[in-house]
Amino acid sequence: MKRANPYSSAPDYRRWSKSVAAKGAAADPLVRWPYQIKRTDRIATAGSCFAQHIARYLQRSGYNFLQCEPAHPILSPEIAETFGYTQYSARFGNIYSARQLLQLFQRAFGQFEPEEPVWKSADGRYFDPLRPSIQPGGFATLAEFNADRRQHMAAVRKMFEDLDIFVFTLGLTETWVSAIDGTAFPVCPGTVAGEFDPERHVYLNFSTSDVIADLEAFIAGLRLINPRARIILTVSPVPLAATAEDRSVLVSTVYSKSVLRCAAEQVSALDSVDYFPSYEIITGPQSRGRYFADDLRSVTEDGVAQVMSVFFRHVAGEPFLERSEPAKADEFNDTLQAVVDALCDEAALDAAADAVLQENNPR
Amino acid sequence: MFKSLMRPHEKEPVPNRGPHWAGSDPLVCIGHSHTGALQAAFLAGAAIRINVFNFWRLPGAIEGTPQQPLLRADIAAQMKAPLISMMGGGAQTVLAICAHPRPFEFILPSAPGLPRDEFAELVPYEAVKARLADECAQFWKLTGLVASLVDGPTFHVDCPPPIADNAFITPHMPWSMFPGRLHEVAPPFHRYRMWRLNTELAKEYCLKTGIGFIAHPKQCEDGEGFLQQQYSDDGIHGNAAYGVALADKISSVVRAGRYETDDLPPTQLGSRP
Repeated sequence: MKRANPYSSAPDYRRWSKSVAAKGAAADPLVRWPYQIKRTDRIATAGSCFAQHIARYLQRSGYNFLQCEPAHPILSPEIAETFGYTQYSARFGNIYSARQLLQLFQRAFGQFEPEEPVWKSADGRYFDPLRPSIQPGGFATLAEFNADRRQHMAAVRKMFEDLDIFVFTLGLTETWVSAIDGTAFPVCPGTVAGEFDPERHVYLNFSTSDVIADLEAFIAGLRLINPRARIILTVSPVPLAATAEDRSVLVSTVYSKSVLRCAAEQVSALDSVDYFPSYEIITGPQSRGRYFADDLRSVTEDGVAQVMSVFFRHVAGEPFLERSEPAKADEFNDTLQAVVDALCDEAALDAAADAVLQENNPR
Repeated sequence: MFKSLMRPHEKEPVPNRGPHWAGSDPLVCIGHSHTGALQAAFLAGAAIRINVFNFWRLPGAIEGTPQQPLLRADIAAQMKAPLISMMGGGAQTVLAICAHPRPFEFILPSAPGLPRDEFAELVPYEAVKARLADECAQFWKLTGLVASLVDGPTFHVDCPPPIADNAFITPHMPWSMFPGRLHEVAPPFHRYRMWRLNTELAKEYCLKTGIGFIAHPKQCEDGEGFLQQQYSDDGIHGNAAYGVALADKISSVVRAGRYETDDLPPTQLGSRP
């Protein structure tokens, strides 16, 4: 007679053959969730481009997606999207690193002021180094740039003060920072906007302990101004568009995501911080890569739908139901293979490299 | 179309590339409600030699689709150069004449110092411009259409600036055309800013297409760039007196055979909120 061991009576979810291999792409890796969000809970989102999908589904579901910097109603939905509204709870664009999130919080509450506050282009336009993609072509005047940032910072303060649940998607460890004061830029200066200066812009690849320290500092700050806030951490499954390391981008991607996943695991041990496994749903072997589009980087609408079905089933306690008319619904649902139109300015790294390549190698 | 005439900022007369207006034949003007000033002037007995086609009084004149409009054949046959277009001119009014329940402002790059409500929500200038451009697109399609019908220059006439005094405008407001909006006229410089943006868009369009641009008659402005009250009966459109001044300006510009070169009024800081 066999003796009992720690695995002999393990429930199905602990066993690969029963919970993953047997279920395939429909595998649900979330075993339990400690609470259920209510429709009245104010849910804020931020993070890398995958986080836009969470915001989109929350808006479509009728849950209380907190919008502290909504587009003015005179703007059409198309214009609002072009100008970086509706992607997140405020108009901060993509936040790829934990350092960037921490500094956003610190700037909002007057604890940090970047030494490099604005980039002026050769044609006289002004760009925000910390959200270079929210204003296509930049701001026409410094007066408008400054007024807009004041308004934005007020919206960010309100978001952190008012939110009940904060969903943050960790995206990258590779980051470009200011050599002067450590300001973390969302993308390398000179790609989306600005000019790269090796004297002022230095590269960092954050370690697990860096990411943990930044997340813990952010959470400590948030607790002070909003003690009731719950935090949901996710890791973006979207691979790096390009790496600054002298090695394969595939190796850098696995390193980066591993660091972020480990950091999220450790930080989720804190009170009121939980990890949601969107990364595993998209990238796990059970999906057989089907949730990536032809570029093997963009996540398809099917993949997003699978993530969000798990999210709603566990976190909201009910299946996802469309409660409001989405913008461009027809376009989004035209084909099951449609790549979701997440605005990912990290992809500019790849495009910028192509541009330089073509410039240096004219046909 | 008239590429050789695409020199709107030049003071020198442009070469005569088509039938030129010698002053003997009436000019042809086609457009929307702002043509009413010219018609009013004519009805008041002014010696205006402009034949006006007002779409508001020509139901069925525009055929085809909004994307590809066509002009009814009998009207198209009466278009001749130099053609005066007064298309649109109401887009800025639609967006800005009523006080918005979520008061908004934007900073106009050409006049960043114009007074604005500091408590109003700031909307990106480029976003407002894109929105207004969307509103104007249908009018530019029509302008391009009529310009394509004539063998010679076309001029676009800008709409008049807004009246400053809200109390003057309020009794004339057609509130039924603004369902769900506050029955309150927006602050003067809010309206003025949107009008200037509309004017800048019109100039951009004209520059791009080689259509001449004729600004409003400057003598009708007050010291801050608003329209003097004596030139409007309804607070939005020019009246007969404005029509006389405008007709005079149109005639002189067209007779000179050159494009209007008026720049936008200089930034004028006023005391109104």
